[in-house]
Amino acid sequence: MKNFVCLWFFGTAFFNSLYAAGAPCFSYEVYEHVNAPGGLPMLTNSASDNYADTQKRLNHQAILAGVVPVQVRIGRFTSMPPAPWIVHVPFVGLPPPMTLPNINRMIIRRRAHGVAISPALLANLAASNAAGAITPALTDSLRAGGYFNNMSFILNRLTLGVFPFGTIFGVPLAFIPDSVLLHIALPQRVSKNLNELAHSSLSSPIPGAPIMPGGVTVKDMINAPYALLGGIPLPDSATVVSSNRLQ
Amino acid sequence: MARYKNIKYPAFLLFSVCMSLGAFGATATLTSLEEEKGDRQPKRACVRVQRKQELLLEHLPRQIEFLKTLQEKFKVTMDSQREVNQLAAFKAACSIANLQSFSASIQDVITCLRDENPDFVSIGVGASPALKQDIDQFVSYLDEAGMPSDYFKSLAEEFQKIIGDIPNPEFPADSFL
Repeated sequence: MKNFVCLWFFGTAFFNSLYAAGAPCFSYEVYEHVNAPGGLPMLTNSASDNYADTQKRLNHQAILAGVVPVQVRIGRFTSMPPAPWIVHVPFVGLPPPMTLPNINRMIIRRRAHGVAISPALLANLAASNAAGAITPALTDSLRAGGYFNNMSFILNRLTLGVFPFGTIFGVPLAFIPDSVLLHIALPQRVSKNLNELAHSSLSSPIPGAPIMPGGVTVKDMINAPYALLGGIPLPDSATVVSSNRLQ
Repeated sequence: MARYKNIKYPAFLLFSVCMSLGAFGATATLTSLEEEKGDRQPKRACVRVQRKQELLLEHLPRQIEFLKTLQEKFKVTMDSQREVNQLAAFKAACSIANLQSFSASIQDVITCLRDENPDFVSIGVGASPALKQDIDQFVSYLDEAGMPSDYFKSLAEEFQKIIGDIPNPEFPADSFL
């Protein structure tokens, strides 16, 4: 009995840390930009129609070879001859310094996207705002919520970024694309923010609304110009996340 | 001593189960929060937040109004080019979409400022300095596109006066470890 208890104690104490580290091998996950229930038909946004598994793997290899974590690729595949990918790298260099106002804005965005925010975090943030200083409790809450994760920074810059006129996520257009692919490649574990990414891969929860007044998601940003112009189908779109430590 | 021996192994078991569920980490976070609740929102800070809330609620809708007038201009271009040059019309639609998402971002802050929960009001006020970065970026896009930007620049200066004294502390580097 004594030996069994000791073994179990050590086993369970270290199980979590081993599990969290994950296997050190390349893997990937894909979130298709699907519509909310009651919205436009899912088929119009089914990325799997256009991007074969081999194509996704090919794209991943290209990204992992580089040092830039985010690429936006636009292409045209439903016409003959298909237009090639135009690759744009929106986030070159380090993200802007993370400040208390930026965190406040991230919270506002997450809330608008329907992500549940811990009441403890909200209270800690309000306390920090009142004090005008970052408290250790706030830092702990943010760390626990994955707010300091690179994926979180990337989503923040994608959905809150101001992009130049006449572009999709800053990509200059030589043709009207029918496919938009976002690649996010990170060397570290990214599971923390995949839930948030899933929220941002959905379109407006208001059925039939081309873009909602608040809480504009990545999906909304891709679809909006097509819905505004009308007469052309919404593009196939997906966000591809690659990491060597997905859980 | 005999009683100690009786509870020793069950205690070990309970402790290891708690460790595996991460229960102790959650307790630590809550404790920190409780410690802070005591001196939350001092009176002076509350008055300051109310004043900022009023100023921002008066100012931010004017920025959205300006963005709407720009959207109208691009809409005219989109409609006029629809049959002639579809790519030009699509680019105009992209411009409208980009302006809409910028507006929506400002609108989200306004929604927060109008919330009945004082925590969200403080988050709305606290987020305002972060909007300034986007406003400056947007002014540069207006200049690059050769569009009139004087009015928006004056709005940006006004905005800076409102948010100038809102704290903008940076997280220390060790927060990200």
